[in-house]
Amino acid sequence: MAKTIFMAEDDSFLLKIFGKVFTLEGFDLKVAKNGTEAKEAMTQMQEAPSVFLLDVMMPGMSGFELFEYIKSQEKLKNVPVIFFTNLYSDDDAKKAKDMGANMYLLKSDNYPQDVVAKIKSLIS
Amino acid sequence: MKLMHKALVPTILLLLGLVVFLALFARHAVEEAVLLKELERMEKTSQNALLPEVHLEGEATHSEESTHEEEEESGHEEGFEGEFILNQEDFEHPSREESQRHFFRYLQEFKDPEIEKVTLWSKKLKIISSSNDNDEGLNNPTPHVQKILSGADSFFVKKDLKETSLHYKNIAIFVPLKIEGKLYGVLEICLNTDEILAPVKKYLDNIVFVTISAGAATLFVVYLLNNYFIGKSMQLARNKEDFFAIASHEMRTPLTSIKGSTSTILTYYPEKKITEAEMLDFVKQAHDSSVRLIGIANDYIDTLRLEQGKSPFKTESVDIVEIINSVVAEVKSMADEKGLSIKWDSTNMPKYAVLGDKDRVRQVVYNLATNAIHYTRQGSITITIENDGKNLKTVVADTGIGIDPENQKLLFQKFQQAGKNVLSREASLSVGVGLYICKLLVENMKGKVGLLKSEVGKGSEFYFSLPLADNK
Repeated sequence: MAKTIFMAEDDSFLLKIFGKVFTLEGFDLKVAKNGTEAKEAMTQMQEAPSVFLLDVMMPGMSGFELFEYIKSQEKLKNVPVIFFTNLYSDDDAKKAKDMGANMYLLKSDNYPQDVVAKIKSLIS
Repeated sequence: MKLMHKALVPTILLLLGLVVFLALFARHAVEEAVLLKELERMEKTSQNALLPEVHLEGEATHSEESTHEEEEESGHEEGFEGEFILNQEDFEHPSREESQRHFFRYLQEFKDPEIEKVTLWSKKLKIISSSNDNDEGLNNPTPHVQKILSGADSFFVKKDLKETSLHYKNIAIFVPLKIEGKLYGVLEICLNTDEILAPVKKYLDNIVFVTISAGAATLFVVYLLNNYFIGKSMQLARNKEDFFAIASHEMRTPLTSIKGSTSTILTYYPEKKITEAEMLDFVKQAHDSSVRLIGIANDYIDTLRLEQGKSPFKTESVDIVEIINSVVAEVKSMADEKGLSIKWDSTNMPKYAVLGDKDRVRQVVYNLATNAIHYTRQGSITITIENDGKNLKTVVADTGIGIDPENQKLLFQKFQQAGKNVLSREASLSVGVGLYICKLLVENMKGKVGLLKSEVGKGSEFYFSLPLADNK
């Protein structure tokens, strides 16, 4: 059974490119185009995804706020979370680590295939 | 298909080259601007390095009612009673060096509306450093500066309405700067108000009623000002940090798109895992992202240059109707793509000439028009002009998403769409400096720019006005 990536990303270009590679690499994909849409999708989830890939800076709700929500939900709280952002600062990376995120990845440093490899290593 | 593939390889290589070039260009341009500013600062700081310490000496009695003449009599004639040195114990400050560092940084970097001017005069009556860049190199000290240089102790002067020659508005503080007992120069602090620096005023008032060491009193004022400036300095550092964090985010996003598109084509197209249509779509995305990146780089360079006052402005007669015609023609395709109409009718309109820089006026019209298009999902953008006999107001109205009252306060600030939470800004719509650039441009042309009205869900009306060159 295919693993599912839940990707919250407000940049439609990046959503299309990364989404395409994820599906090519055999993942099922669920997407949300902003923080509000992501939270709404989470509230209606029947089944938890294999991993959350969250942008940090998004309209409506930030990735950090979504993370708090995920951890407050019994059925979602054990799903690995990767912050996937171009807003990098040491403070944010530390904050993500302290919160309990599994990874904090800089988008521009990672090819789509790199992200696939990291997701596979995380959920295998 | 094979031919298509062959033709694509150089295209992709070209795009990859473009990615690297743009990344290097953007990084270099931003770094260069920062470096230039830093070098300027260091150049100035090297002069300030001549001031290793501030020693203030002497003791005097001061009174709020005292006139300049009285100060002249009381200040110096009472003589000095030892040396007063700012130290940690006295002022609970981390270090004198740090205090001075922040203080002189203030002189170079800040423009505070409440502090009219902070000037450091040399003993030879030349300005060493001033918060007013235009003063650099001037040498027209007030008689108060000369009084200090001729040996008077520090004093405060409240503006005498009869004395029109004074260029400060409320209070001026004159402080002798001595190094190891030797007079080095004069610190002149001119305040626009005696209200805003409440702590300073409090001590100024206290000084009126008690006999206190003039050196201590002055240092205390300088110390309080220092703390005030340090607070400002920290705010500036935070603003800079935010600026670079968001600026780098905005630039990395299209770069990620270019990198991701091209690598996906290179990896999956030869294996036929993506279709030709998908491949072409990715090439288009890479192209569009490179255009977006160039726009972002230009906006940031513009912002930095304008903030540093390094962009020259012409003052010429500008045909505003012709400019709006040209901008409307340029942005029409952008509006068409979203199904929006642009309402602007210049038929039979007289020629209106405003005073400004033609290219800059065009940039303002373009920014306001594209801003309206970005934030409008359906309906129209309407451009009108109004002549009040002195100024020409250009109004750009949209039927867009509107702005709530809370966020209206943030308009025209850098990254204004950030609102209270920088992490939930709508980054995909714009890079957040468009209106800020408009403000800098219009103010440089002695005009006004602002929001006329806005209602969430109904739309917004922005305007800018410039002085009329003539009135036909």
